[in-house]
Amino acid sequence: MALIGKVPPARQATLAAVHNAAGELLDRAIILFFPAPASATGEDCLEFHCHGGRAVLDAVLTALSEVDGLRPALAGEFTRRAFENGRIDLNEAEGLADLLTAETESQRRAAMAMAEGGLSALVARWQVALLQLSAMIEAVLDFSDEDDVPDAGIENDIVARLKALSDEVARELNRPRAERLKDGIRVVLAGPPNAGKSTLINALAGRDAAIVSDVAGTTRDRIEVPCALNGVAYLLIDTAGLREGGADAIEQIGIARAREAMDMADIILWLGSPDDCPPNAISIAPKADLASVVDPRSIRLSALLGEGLDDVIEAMDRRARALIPDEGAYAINMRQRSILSDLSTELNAARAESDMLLVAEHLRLARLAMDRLTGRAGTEDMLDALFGTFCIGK
Amino acid sequence: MTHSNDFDVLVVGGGHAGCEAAAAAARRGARTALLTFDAMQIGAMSCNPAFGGLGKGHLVREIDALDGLMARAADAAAIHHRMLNASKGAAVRGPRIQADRKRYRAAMQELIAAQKGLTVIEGEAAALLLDGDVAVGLRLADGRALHSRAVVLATGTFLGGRLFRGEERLVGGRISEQASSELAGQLRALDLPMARLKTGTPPRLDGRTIDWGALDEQPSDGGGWTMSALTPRRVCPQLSCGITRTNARTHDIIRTAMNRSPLFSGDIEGRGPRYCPSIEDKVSRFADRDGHQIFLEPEGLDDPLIYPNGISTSLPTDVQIAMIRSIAGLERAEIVTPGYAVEYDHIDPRALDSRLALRAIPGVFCAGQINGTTGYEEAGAQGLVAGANAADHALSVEPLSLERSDAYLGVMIDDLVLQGVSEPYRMLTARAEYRLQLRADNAEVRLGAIAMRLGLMSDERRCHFDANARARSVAAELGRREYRSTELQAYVPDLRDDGARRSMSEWVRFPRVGADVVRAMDPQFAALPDAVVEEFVEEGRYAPYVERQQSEIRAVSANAAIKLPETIDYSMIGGLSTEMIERLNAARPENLGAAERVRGVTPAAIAAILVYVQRLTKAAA
Repeated sequence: MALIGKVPPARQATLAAVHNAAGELLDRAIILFFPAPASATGEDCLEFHCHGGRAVLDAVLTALSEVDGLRPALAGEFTRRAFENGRIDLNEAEGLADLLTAETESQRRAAMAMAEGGLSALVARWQVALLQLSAMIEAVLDFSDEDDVPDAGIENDIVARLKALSDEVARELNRPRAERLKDGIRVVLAGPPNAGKSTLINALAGRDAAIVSDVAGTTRDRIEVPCALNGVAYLLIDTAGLREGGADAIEQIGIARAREAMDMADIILWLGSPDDCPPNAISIAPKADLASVVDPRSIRLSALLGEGLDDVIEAMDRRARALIPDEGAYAINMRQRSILSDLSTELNAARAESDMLLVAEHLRLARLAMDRLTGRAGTEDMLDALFGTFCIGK
Repeated sequence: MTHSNDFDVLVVGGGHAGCEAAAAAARRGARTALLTFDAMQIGAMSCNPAFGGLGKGHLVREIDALDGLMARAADAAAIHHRMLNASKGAAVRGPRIQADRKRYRAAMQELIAAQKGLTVIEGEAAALLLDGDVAVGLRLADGRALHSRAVVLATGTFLGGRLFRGEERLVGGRISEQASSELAGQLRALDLPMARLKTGTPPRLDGRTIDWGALDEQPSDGGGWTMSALTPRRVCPQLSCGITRTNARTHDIIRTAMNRSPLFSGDIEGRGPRYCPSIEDKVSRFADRDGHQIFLEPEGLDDPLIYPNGISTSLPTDVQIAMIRSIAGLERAEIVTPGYAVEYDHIDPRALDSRLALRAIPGVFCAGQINGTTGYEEAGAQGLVAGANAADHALSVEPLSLERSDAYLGVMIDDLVLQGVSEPYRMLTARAEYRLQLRADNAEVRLGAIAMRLGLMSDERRCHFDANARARSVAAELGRREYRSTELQAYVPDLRDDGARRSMSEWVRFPRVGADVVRAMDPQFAALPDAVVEEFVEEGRYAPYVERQQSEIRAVSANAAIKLPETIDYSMIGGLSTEMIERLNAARPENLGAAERVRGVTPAAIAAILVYVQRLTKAAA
């Protein structure tokens, strides 16, 4: 305890003067001592709570590194030691990406936790359906000489079950994405230059995020503004106004980006002529205070006066509810989506195949995909399904 | 008969596992003795008179590729041929033959007698001779001691065998034969993980009392295929089988007598195979079925005995007679030997390593039913591996170790030593994840080079193998020749003309471009052996899938490179469930890849094991 001169009492915040080897006072810090094994890593742990200045930290770290046997921890080393010493279980070992091949398992648990039973129940049902299907095919392949395994009839049955399962997986793939919950629904404001897009974005965001001017083409690049309205997260994207002539090179790039943004949008707010309104966009008549007549297809809006803003938000809200999962339902994340997509690919390939041997191979790969989602099942489970269904064996 | 007391390898048992073990050890140059109760029973088929089938046919071909005996003996005795799954992909086609019992036994005894360096000794193995915990030979029941460097136990159903039929109880491994009770007692006393399994056999009928005219007939397949690559043509006349089935009356008879079956009275503790259920089992488990098929299989050319395949039973003899006579065509049939169940000792195969060596007693190898398997083919295949490795143990040459991606044999041994058994283990093609590349027809390609390197191959086999290898390289060369679809249209009329030129290797991916088209298109192909051309077509057909599997195999082998010390105590690893600890401690996987395959072990658990092993290694360094 060269730095603080004593071993502080266990698990008690203690004020201590920290000195370096030369005896210089570096800081007065709070020290916490956790003797093994009741510590985060299961080993003796000592925490320094120093003052935050860069110079103080550097000085303390330097002093520490001069003590024999001390070195800075490697990335993830605390977690790793905690894991090795049995302080955290495998569920908690998710952060060990660098050393763990546990990727799938930890992700599986995260997935299952997130699904809170919804997805896992569905996946469990698919697992059963898939094992049952595999069992039927293996029965055809391994026990074709048994009279209890009807050949032609079973093949039709297999095709029908395959279709049902792959349709269901495809439906699930179309579910709302979890990313929309986290990152917000992408709302793109589009329309001709100087239509008032930036004014609207500022009104929605409740702050001046975009520059507003009367000069057409003021917004040359995309501006992304996160905000929450009625408890829904949005990412508002302001774009360069769309016009063909009169734009300089930089503005042209901005326009190209605007079109890209519209392609990736979940909701488009269209602030132009309702006749040019892109399909499925919400048409808005901006600057309604200046206009004499407003097309009935558009929402009247005067962002400056605050008139019609609630109507726009309500229209956005209606669209958003369809894009995010219902309260209490689950969403599937990127990883799950990619596995489901693999699963779907194999099921479709199996449907397209007439050679039972290859159908079986695609189903084996589908089972592997399923295993990545749920942990594992393996051949023995499939055989259990097989022998539970058919009276096999002479 | 010579009684030398100095052998490299001693094999206990003259069944399918014992014969292959003894012959394989001797082929590798080990001085080998095969110990059996009765030399005249060597090669006896205890149950059904058939070899091969789905998954099992693959094993027979693999035994053959490693120059084992089973396929050749089967060909010498084959009186009925059937290619199962003939209409499906080659990977799941299963060659199956029915063998004349006497001819098979004679052929096997001839092959054993012809094997150099192999001595047959009659007697009962009473105990392993141990020096500390190392096996140094056997003590026989008559007091003789035989010393050897390695012992292969291939005891079949004889280890602690008990027979059951209705209320009758007999000691024995087969009807009217003895059992190895003393050896069983010693193994249990050595604290090896032992358990009981059971199997059964149907009554044998007198074929002269069967009304064949009333039954459907199943003729033998045409075509000239044989089980062994060395057999040039079929030798025996071919017989047909009859087909009949049980009916509601049969099931009533069985149900009424169920309380007299030892299976249901609780007298049999061992579990039987799901793959080969007794008729009692079928009737009680699948009560909704109104009948079960029975194949009436002849047991020999000059033998009236008929094996009714599908009604294995341990019901009392009077019930068996009533049951048989309720079946169409069998109304006046006479039972020659009633069916029975047999319960026997086996060792938890997780006590073995992948060489089939018992970890607890160096020098002891086990093969066949003692490892919890069922079936002649499974037994023979293990026997070959155990014998080859016993020879390695004695002579320090090179072990025979096959991967799951090499052979069904590799799949079976991996399953046994990692998962153990809860019922008699039978080979199925569904167990082989790399099934598309493990075909019965390419066993020689997969295993020939290994057999040659390990000294398992005789000169005769080697000649054949070399000739085929040359033909295969010619086929590969010819396969590069390109053709347009218009050129193939003469043989495959509705082939779509897309103008593309493809090599013959690519053309065979089209299901309708078969071996006949290949031969017709190129006379040089026609000049090659049929088997080689068929192989070429099958290789090409599944090539894209096989390539994909290859990358799967590569991914698996990364973890296989991480060795796990045999002494790991898995309960010391934080975070493993009790179930995982129990399974891992029992199986003692040799590497991380094997640990990953142990049932119930999750990827996260594998990570924990990896970290633990890395720490051990670091601590040792």
